[in-house]
Amino acid sequence: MVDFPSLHSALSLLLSSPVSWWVVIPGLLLGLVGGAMPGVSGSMVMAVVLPMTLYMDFLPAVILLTSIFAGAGFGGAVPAILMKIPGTPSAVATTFDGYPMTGQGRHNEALGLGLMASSLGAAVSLFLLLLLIAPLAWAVLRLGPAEYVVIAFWGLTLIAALREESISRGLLAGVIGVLVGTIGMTDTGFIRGTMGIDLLLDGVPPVPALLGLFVASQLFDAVGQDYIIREAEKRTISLSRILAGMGRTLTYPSLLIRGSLIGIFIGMVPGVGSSVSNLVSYADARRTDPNPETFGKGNPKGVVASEAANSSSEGGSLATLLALGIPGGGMTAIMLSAFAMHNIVGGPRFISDHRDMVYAVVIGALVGVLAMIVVGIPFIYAASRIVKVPMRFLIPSVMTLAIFGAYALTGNAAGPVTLFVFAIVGWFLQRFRFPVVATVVGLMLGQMVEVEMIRSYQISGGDPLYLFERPIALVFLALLIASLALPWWKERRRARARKAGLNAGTQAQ
Amino acid sequence: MSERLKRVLPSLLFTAGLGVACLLYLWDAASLSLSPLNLLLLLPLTLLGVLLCALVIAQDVRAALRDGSARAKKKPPLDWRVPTLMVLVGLFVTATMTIGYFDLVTLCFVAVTLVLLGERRPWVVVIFSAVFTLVVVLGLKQALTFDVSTLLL
Repeated sequence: MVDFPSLHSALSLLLSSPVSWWVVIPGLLLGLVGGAMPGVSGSMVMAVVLPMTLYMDFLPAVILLTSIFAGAGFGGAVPAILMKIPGTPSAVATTFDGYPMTGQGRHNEALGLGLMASSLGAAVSLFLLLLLIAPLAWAVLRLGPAEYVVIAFWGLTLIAALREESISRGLLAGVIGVLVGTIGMTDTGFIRGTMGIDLLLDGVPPVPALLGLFVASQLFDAVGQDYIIREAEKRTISLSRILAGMGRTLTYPSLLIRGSLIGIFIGMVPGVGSSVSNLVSYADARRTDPNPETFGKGNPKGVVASEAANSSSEGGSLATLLALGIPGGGMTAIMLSAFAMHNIVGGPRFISDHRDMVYAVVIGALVGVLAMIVVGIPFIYAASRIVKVPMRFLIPSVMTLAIFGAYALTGNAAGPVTLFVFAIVGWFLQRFRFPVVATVVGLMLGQMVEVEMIRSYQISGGDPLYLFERPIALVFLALLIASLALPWWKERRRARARKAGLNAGTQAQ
Repeated sequence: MSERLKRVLPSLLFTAGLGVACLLYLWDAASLSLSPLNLLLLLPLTLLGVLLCALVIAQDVRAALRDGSARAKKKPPLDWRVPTLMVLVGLFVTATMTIGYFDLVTLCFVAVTLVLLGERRPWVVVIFSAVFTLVVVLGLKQALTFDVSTLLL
């Protein structure tokens, strides 16, 4: 599985080039800050840094970018935990238990849990990548349009099913998100839903819409609050509690490993992986826990499961990038650009002809995520000071950053206007108890889902039985049906148990 | 209309609005073409959406009629600062995209929002707004390759 001569060559290459290691800490810090700031993102930071990498050798350039990638992977969890504002869609599930922990004054512990889970999850996935890059590449090639569609819908049904309060509300929010994601001009030339607005020809810009739905609407909701944490005595910053949270992560080894495996395999799926993997891992952790009702109320396992998966999907997307030359999302697309700038093309040829370079990239990324355990501690110690800042300062600051971030992404009015419109929509959705997260994931996946559905239709010639020729798609379809059926079945069992209890009580009387 | 139904009326109207929006979108798409390449995802998803809207409305009406008025959860009254902040954000976006002058508009937005949200110390409003504007707008000008219109910076 491991080509030891190439591994030896990779280690020699890394150790003979100390300059390659100087970039790790700056890269991690850039990624942490970029990922933590709503309106800025890891891919924006990487885009800004990319031109500088032209003057660097390939190895330090890629190590810098993978360090930013690793930092941003955890960075998004910081606002998710402290303010219920996920920095990226891959941190959505972290809000489910991270933010309640902050409300209970356990923000230090939550950040420590997230940091350790993120670092170890990514480390496990990169280690597996070293061992299994060729089989992983083989597995990705088995995935086709039908599989992408089913995985995307599975992700959406998971979000709906996670909010057991009303699965129909969750599904409706997801459907709305997918429909909004299809607005604009399709690959087949149809222009739909643009209302005559030229800026919508390329569709609704997803990241500004995400910023509006998550960030701005959450800020509107926070208007009545004086501080993130109501009780003054709970607004403490404690290094010992951060370290305790990190230590507590190690008491959930099976959760860490399961989350990492889920993340790496789902993270391999281009375009879908990172948005869905954290939700799958969270749902799995809840399903297998003896006390599932504690999830969503500040259960540390929820944070561990989500962060382990979203960071390990880094390894999965790197596998797809290195082995197939296919980027999984914005950040890996920028890494692909960095490869091209150095005349490197990812793909099976790259792996077979330059395996030592592949191993060097993976080992460099592995060192980066392990370094994040140390670099991340002062970062989250500083970041957790946000709980001491009154909301009247946070709201205009974060709102301005989000609007400028939306402007920076589109370069025109489309970004800020989209953010504003979706901020209003998101506020109403929350007010009427629709899970905004489902709309966000639907929006992120909408365009991709339609494109892949049309591709499947064209490949199959319109034959619906084509699905039965795709066993992997059938497996995910079965999981999708189970995700919907399981909460309904559990509710029926609970209702029967309640009825039996009532009957027993009546008979006793 | 009973009191219980009146309480959930805004939610019912919003949900119905979502259903109508789905249908309008489908109508817009169908008026272009009835080809499967156009409606393959839209048609089943819109129908599902409308069905879910009906289901959510039915659930809300049933819940409203079932819950006694004493037990039913009352939403807290809407804080007047929320719609005001929405208007401010709208004005901020409109002003930056039409007039430009990111520095001046940001300064005004941050200062007015601080006052709206309860900051009463004028020196804090001025200094925080100015420093924040300076850092963020200068940072934006440095980071972006396209023009960021400013008045003073």
